[in-house]
Amino acid sequence: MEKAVLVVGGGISGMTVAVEAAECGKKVYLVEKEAYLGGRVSRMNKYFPKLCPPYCGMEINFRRIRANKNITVLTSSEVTEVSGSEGDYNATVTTAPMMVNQKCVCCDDCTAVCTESRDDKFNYDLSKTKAIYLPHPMAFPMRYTIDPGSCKTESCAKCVEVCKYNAIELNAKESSQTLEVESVVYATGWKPFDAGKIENLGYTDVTNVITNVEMERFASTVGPTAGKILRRDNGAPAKKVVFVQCAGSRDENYLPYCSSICCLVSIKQAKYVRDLYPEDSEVYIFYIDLRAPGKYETFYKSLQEDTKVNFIKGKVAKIEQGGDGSAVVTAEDILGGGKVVIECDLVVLATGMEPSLSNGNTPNWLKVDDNGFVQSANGMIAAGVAAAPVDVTTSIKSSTGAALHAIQKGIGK
Amino acid sequence: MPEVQTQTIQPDVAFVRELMNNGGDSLKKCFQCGNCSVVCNISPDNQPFPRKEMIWAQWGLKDKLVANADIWLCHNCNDCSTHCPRGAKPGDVMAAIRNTSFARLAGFEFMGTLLQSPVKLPLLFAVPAILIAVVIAMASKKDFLSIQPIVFSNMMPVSAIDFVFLPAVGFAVIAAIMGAKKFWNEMSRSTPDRSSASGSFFQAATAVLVGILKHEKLAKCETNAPRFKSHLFTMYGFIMLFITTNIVAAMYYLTKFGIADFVQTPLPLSHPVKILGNLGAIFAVTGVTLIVHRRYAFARKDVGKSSYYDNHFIFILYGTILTGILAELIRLGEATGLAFAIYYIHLILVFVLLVYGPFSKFAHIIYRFLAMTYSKMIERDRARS
Repeated sequence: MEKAVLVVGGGISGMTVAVEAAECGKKVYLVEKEAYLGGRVSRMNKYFPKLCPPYCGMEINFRRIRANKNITVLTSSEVTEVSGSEGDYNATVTTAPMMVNQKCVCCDDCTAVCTESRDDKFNYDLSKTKAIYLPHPMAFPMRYTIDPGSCKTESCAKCVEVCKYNAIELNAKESSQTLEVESVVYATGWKPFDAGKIENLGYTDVTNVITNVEMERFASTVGPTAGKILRRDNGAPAKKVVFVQCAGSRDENYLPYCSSICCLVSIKQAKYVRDLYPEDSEVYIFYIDLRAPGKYETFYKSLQEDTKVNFIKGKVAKIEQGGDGSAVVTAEDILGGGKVVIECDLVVLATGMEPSLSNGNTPNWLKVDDNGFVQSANGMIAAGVAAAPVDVTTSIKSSTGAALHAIQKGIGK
Repeated sequence: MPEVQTQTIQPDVAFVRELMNNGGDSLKKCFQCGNCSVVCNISPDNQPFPRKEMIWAQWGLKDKLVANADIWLCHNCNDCSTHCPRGAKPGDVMAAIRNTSFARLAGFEFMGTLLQSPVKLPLLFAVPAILIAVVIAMASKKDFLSIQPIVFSNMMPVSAIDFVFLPAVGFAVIAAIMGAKKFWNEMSRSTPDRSSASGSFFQAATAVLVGILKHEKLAKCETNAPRFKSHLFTMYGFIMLFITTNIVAAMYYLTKFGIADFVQTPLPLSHPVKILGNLGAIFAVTGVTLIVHRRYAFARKDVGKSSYYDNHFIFILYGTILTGILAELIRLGEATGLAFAIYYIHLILVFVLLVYGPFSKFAHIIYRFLAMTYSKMIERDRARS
């Protein structure tokens, strides 16, 4: 029997590996630990290169996955063990209790009766959902899920009573299966660097300081503020916004490497602010070097032409709470010849990407570099940001290549 | 479009190498982010340091660097190095730039060269060791070892001390004045736009002195916060010892010339001048011990490394104060031979400390004071409008 390809991680990279391999006729298991596919990209407001909302690219991939019998999608699942050698692996996949089954039609009757709530991880804890919830409006699979940490389960069971489709099984059990696969692709992606570690940037103690991933949620029409970019203290429109580049990246005390995307993320987010409040918003982007490779240069230049977007060379080293709750940012304006102090509505820290498998999250069958990026070795293949900090376009290219590698490994056997 | 100006940079590669050898070996790691200028609590708003010094150092712009008051406005807190994203250690580089000044600025350049490396140290010690030994052989009282109680001037009379030290210290003072003058001229030339330099020297110097007495700048250090205390103790200790020495000298000469009749050394322990001296010794030994402890016993490996100039100055300082205290204690303990031996070493160390002072890190008291005064005159510390 022909063996399958195991893809770990169901973000844009993992989905790409899965559809590319499956469309070549390979059997693919796509394992995702969240209840939905799409990963970090699904949590963006808009993404490069075309600045479309993530559902654009996602929909095509969802359709290709749905149409392809070769792909088995395992959400809420994790690969807990891999043994064997190149071309011949046994992988154990553990799936969390499926408390909502595929009969769910997303009628939303359950949330009306649910009494418990939880922080919405999809929105980086910036809002709350009920204990039973739809992960996000375009979730795939389109199905509600229950947070076992918040749900009172059988002692409550109001949702079970109200569900007309018998979709809720509060006593569902964790399941586990062993898959025989010939290659394993790691597309485990990244997590945002913990900005709280950078003490002088005030993320934990200055109210109006947020991170770039949070900014994506605020800017999103389905985010916690329905697309309004607001001050965190009083909810007033955030019209004077400072972006702090290299918040953790390119810093041997935190992430020694360049995360490669943050410059363009900030330029993109500057555009969110300018588009939202075109009359009277102003943006300051403090940078060490601005990195807009290839055709992104054009996008950078278009924002440079906006006189309300100020690019200042100099790393921000101090952010303090101002008298009226504003954030006060200090940096050396290197080309201007002195320190600048800017009082603003909102500071966005351009935090970098830390590999998901860094710092003790590395499975013992995997080889990672000093920074936690997965190295293709022992037959394991790394794809997307699991391998290196890159943008979506490069991730997709990397994933297509990984799919080919995975197929080749099967042929070589 | 602004008018394009071209400027040809003449890198002094030998100077870059000198800086790297003097403790600034990390300077090439700097990528000019400007983090350091902001985390520094004492850097001014306008043209802050040390980011600009880092690129001048990389480019070997010697003239700009050495005539720059800012290298002395830096108090080596090392907050810049702690927060540096690249491990470029601006604090160490600034210290290295200062280290190149000691030999270059003071008069009698050959002396500066002798102080640059530990290889010449035996020679530097041999000079006072021989000189003082010869003077003792000629001027000591006969059988001074057997005279009780122990009186150090039986071995080295005050007149002999003055015979050795007055010309030697005079030489040092001339070297120091030459260095001060050269530095002041360089600073003045390097600030073409001095329109705001209206403040008087006297006013600025007074304000700076008050600031130094209060240790205002060192109080702002975070990484090197413990130095506030250690430097304060050391400085006040040596000020007290300096005052004591001068009073004792005055008492000696006033008595000698019959103008007054003071009790002569060794002063009894209850004498106010003796109390001042002993108090100064306690302050100084406490301060220097704290410095030695922080620098060597509890040194951070990552930032604030000690260069030869640091080691030289600190150990001469420590040796001087320890032998001074030991000589007094052993004298009181009446261990005759040992007391005189220690006192002899003490005299050598005092010679090394004072006479070589202008060429060693001791000279920081001159250049830092001048740089701070100059900066105050040109209102360098004024907030940026």
